[in-house]
Amino acid sequence: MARIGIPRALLYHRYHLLWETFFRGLEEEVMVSPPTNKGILELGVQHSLTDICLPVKLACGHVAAIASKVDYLFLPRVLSVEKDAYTCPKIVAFPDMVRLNIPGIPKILDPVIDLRKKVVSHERQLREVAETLGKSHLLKKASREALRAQSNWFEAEPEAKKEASFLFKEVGSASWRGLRIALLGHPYNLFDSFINFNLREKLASMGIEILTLKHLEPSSIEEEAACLDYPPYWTAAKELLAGARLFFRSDLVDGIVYLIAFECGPDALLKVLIDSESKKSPHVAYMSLVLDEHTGEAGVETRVEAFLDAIARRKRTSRVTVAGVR
Amino acid sequence: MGPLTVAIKSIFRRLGQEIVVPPPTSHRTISLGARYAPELVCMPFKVTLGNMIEGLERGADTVAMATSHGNCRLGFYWPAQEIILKDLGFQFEMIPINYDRPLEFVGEFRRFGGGKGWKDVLPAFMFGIRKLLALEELEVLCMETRPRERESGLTTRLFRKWQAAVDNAPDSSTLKQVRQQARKGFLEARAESREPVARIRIVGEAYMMAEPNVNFHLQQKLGDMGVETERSYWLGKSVVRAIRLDRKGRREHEKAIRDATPYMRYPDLCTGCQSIGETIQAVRRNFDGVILIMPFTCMPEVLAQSVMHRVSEDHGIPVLPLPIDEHSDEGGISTRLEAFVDLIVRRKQLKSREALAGTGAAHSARAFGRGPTTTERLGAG
Repeated sequence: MARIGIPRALLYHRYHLLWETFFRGLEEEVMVSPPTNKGILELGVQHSLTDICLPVKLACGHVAAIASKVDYLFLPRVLSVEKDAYTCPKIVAFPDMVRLNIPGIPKILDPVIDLRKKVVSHERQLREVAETLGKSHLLKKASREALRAQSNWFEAEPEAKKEASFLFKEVGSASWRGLRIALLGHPYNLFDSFINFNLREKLASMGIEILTLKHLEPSSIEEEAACLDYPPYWTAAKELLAGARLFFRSDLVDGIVYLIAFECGPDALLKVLIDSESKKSPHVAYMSLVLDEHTGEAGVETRVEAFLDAIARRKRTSRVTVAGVR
Repeated sequence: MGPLTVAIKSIFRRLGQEIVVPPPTSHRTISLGARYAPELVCMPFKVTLGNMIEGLERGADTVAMATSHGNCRLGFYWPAQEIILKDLGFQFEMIPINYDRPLEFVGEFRRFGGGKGWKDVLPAFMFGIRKLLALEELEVLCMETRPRERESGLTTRLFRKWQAAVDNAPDSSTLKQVRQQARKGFLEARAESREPVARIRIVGEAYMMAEPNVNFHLQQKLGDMGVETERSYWLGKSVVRAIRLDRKGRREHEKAIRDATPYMRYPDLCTGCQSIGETIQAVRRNFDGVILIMPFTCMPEVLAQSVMHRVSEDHGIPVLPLPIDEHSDEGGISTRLEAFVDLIVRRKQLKSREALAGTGAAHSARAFGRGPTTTERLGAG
């Protein structure tokens, strides 16, 4: 039984059910790197290029943290997950970056997943991996189970710390309670609690309801994505834009926070499109937050607090006017 | 971009259309672009946005923007730019031109042709390409001549003179004559006694390489330091390659991508890897150093940069990565270039001394000779 290492970074946050179930189906031991912590960030910064984006830096840290403890590293080259669309070039080249920059790397399993031109079954995509591990006979069953597990992704509760509160405990007010905030961003920005300073947990502790793309019906996102004026050719960006439009148009939320990782290529342009969507729907408050390894927790909190105060105030005043009219 | 402007001007002039040439990229262009563009987008986006604003200010009503396939951000420039410009209150039509599809690309010009068909558009287009190639040849001549020029500033004067001649050439035969005369003129400007101190190949992102007003006149700067330079990207060549006329260029391009395989297992999947292959080619062609120029936050080139230190180590060639954005300043860039040139000149001297002294010197040279480690340090700064 070989031990397969998977870094808890990048697309892991989107496909963790798929990957973990698959390797368990192949009767291998799966070792996922621990949730991001300061040590992992430092390792990542040490082993990666200064100019690369924060998620990739963190991913390098995760790889370095488990490299010596595993027999294989699973770093799929996910080029494209649907027709005529891409993920990010950095994800495709990530195994090379790891191989050439981090010392003591074990064997890398890097299947190419490319659905740009035609649909390739999950089994075919991962045949190479099963063959390398000598487990071809289990491939069929494992990939069937994996796909079934992945279909539950939208319902699965993302892992979160039990509790986290704002640095200055006395901040915040009762008027925040019951607000509904949508968090937008790549899964690796939203569901990695280190990179976003436990934002989800903190907001939840104040009684704020948090929505993400997971709360929207997958089919409605697809429908919305099909009628975009300018469909981005990055799958994640397309989903984010479609999701943002749904949130802006509906009465589901009071405010939207868009989390961007510094240096993220698609996000830089997507911001223009989401900004312009927000102008069309002034009744939903909107804010974008750029995160990098130098971002201070207090700074992020101050901005989020001001944002929440603004929403709460707006709700209060609009209620007063409505009452006044009556 | 200078040469492109001349070529496009010529195409439209033949088609009988009026064209608004935005003023050359200046400090104002860059700051306008940087003010209205998203903060984290790459430099070419900001500069082209600035160009568009300046063009629209002068009364243009149509904006043509290059786009492409692949997963670089270039393909998504135009939607974002259209939204930003419309938000600023400009009224215009945005036309994305996809230069990966040659026929579509030429066909787009038909839309501006005022009802003229392929019969008029195609020759106009080919003549435009010829002008582009002529101008790029002038630039190559400059790069070769500048480190050898008889008196300082002569190359620049010659370039201005012949550039105007190409711009004004009314037909192909005049253009041919101009090219011949220019070649002769540049050859005469060389001094026999002067030899370049080093040869550097410039690889990396195409726009940053081609636009001297954005890359702080990189070619000219290096030339003035006595360095002969060569560029891996030429717009004219890449257009000719795209319309399947340049077999040799195509082969070379494919070979560069193949050469990158040890560093990027699937180089055709990530666009930036061409720079890796071109660096390896530079070693084979006896260049003394490579400059990897790119806009800060460039998605494909950052991949090349992330493995470049290994390429440099394995092949023994110094590489200077040069990310540029609107905050880069000329002094900083000059200092880095000067340090890099000093380094490779010294490395070259050590090498030749080593060769002269034979095996005896090899021992002591080991202490200095590891150029790449020094480069790494430079690159990180």
